Amino acid sequence: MTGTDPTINHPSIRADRVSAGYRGHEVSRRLSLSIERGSRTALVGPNGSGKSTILKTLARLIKPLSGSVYLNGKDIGRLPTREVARRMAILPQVHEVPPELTVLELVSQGRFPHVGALRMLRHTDDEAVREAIRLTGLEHLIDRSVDTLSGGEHQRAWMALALAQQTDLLLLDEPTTFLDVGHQLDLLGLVARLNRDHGVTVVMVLHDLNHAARFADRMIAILDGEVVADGPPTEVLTPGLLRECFGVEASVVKDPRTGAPMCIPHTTISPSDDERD
Amino acid sequence: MTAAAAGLVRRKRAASPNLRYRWSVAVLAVLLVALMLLYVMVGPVLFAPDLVIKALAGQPEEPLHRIAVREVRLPRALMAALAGAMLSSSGAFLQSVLRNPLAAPATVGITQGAVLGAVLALVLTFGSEGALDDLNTLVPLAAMAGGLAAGGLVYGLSYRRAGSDPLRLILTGVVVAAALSAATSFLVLLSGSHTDSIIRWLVGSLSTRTWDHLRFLVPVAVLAVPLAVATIPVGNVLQLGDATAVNLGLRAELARAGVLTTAVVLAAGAVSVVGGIAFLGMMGPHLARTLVGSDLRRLVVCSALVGAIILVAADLMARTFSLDWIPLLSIETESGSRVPVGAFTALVGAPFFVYLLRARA
Repeated sequence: MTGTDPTINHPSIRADRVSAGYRGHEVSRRLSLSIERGSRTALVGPNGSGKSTILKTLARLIKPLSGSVYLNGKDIGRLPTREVARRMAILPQVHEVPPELTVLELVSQGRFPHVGALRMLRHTDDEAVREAIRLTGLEHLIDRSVDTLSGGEHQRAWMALALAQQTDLLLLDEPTTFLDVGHQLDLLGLVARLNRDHGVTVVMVLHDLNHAARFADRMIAILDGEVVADGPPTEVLTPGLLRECFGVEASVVKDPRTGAPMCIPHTTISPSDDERD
Repeated sequence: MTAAAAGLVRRKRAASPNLRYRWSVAVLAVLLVALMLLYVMVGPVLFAPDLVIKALAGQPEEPLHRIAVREVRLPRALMAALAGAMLSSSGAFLQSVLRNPLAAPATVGITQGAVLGAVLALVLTFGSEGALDDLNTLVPLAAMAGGLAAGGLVYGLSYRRAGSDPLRLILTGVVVAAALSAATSFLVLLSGSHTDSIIRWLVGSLSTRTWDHLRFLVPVAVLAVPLAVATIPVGNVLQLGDATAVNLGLRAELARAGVLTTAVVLAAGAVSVVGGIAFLGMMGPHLARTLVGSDLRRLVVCSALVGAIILVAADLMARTFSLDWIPLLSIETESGSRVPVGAFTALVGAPFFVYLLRARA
C-alpha cells in the first residue's frame, strides 16, 4: 500500500477472513484465499460446497457477511464499482438476455465501465469489442439475435461481453455447464490462451475435475465452505480427495497427451461408509 | 405465458440493425406526419390540405376554419401524438427493466394511480360550477400526483432488505393496480352522478382536450427527455440482469430506481391528460421491438413513434366512426356521440395482441 506501483506487489485478488453466504445461511466461515497475478485457478467441490458463493463474493455480486476482499491490494467494498469493473470481469452462470438483442449490441455493453453511461448513447463498437468478437469467433454472428444462438454460441457471446471489459482478472462461474464436450474444450482453450497470451488472471468454478486438472495450474477443493486441498492439480486430484470431497471411489491416471492427472470415478461410497457426517 | 410472449418477438433480422433503424424511423415519422395531417383534415367539416395550411398559417378563408383547425383539431392531434409516444416509451422502459414482455404502465398500477387521482379531483370539485379552466389544470395535476404516488407505492412495497426485484415489482404492481381500480370504482359509485366524464377518464379519451391540457403535458414531456436520455444506457445494462449490471460497474438498485422513475413520469404525464388508455403501453414497444430490436437507444425512439401513430390513428377512428347505429353503445356528450379512444385501443388492441401471441409463439 506504500509502494510506488501499488498493484504489482499485491495478489490479483485476495479474500481476507471472508464469511460468505446469505442472510441466515453462512456458506463459508472466515475463508482466506489469495490469487496470484497471471495464475489459472480452478475452484472445485461437490454441489452445495459453496464454491459458487465464494466466487460471487470475490466478484462483489454478494456482499461478504464479514471480512474483506482485496482487488490489487485495495478493499473492493471501498472502490467505486465502475473502477472495479475495469479491472475484474465475471461470467455469471445464468444469463438474462432480452429478446431481439444482437450479439454486437450485447458485446458492446462490455465497454460500459470504460466509456461511461452518457457516452454509451453514441457508442457502438471499438477496438476492444472487435477484439472480443474476434477472439470468440463470432464475426459472422454480430447481427444475429442472441436468443436465436446455439448453446455454444450463446456462451461465447457472453464470454465476449466479459472480454470487451478488457480486465486483467476474469472470474468464470461454471462456464462449461451447458456445453457439449467440443464447445467445452473450445471455451477452456480460449481461457487458456487469454491467460498465456494476454496475461489474464483466471479464477473459474468447474464441475469437470479433469478439465480443472488440465486447464488450471492451481486447484482449490472446497467442501462445506472450507478449503480442503489447495495446490497444483497433481497434488490435489488424488483418490483420497475424491473420496473425502465427492464421496466417490476413483482411480487417478495420467493423461497420455498432456500429462495432467485424470480421474476415473468408479462407484459412490454409500452414506454409512462415509465418515463425514 | 411469459415464454409465449417472449417468443412473439423472436424473428431473424436480415439487414444491418443500424440501417433498419434509420429506415424504420424515417418511415414511421413520415407516417405520423401524414396521419396527423389527415387527422386535422377529417371531421364534421372536411378540409382540403391547402385549407389546413392556410388555417395553420393564420390566413383562413373563414374564421370558423381557424377555430376548427387551430383550437380543436390541432391541439387534439398533438396531444394524441405526444401522449401516445409517452405511454409507449414508458412501456419500453418498463419491459426492459422489469425483464417482462407484459410490463406496461397499466399492468404495474401507474395508469390506475393517475386515473384515481383524476377521478378524485373530478368528484371533489363536482358542483363548483363554471371553473372549467381551473379544472383543466387541476385534474391533470391530481392525475400526475396519483400516477407518481402509485409508482412510488409499488416500488416501496416491493423493496426488501436486499433491494427490489423485477418479478416482485410486477406482482406488487398487479396487486396495487387492482386495489387502485377498486378504489376508483368505489369513488364512482359513491359520487353517483356525472359519470360520463368519469367514464371517459377511466377508458381514456381525447375529446374536449384543449391547449390547456397540452400546456400541462409539454413541460412533463420536456422534463422526461433528459431523464430518458440519462436512463437509456443504464437500462441497456440493467436488462442483462442484476449480476451483469454489477459486473459492468452499475449499482443495480439505484439504476433500477432511475429507469423506473423515467417510466413513471412518462406514463403519469400521459395518463394525466388522456386517461387510462388501454394496451398502448404494452403494444407499442412490442411492435417497435420487432422493427429495431431491444437496444433501448433504438427501442425507445421507435416505441415513441409507434405509440404516437397508434393513438393518433385510434383517435381519428374514434372521432370519425360514430356508433350511433348501435343505440346501446352511443354515449351522449357535448362533443357528440362518439366512442372514447381508449375503447378503440382496447377493442382493436386486445385481439391484435392475441394475434401477435399466436402468430409468433
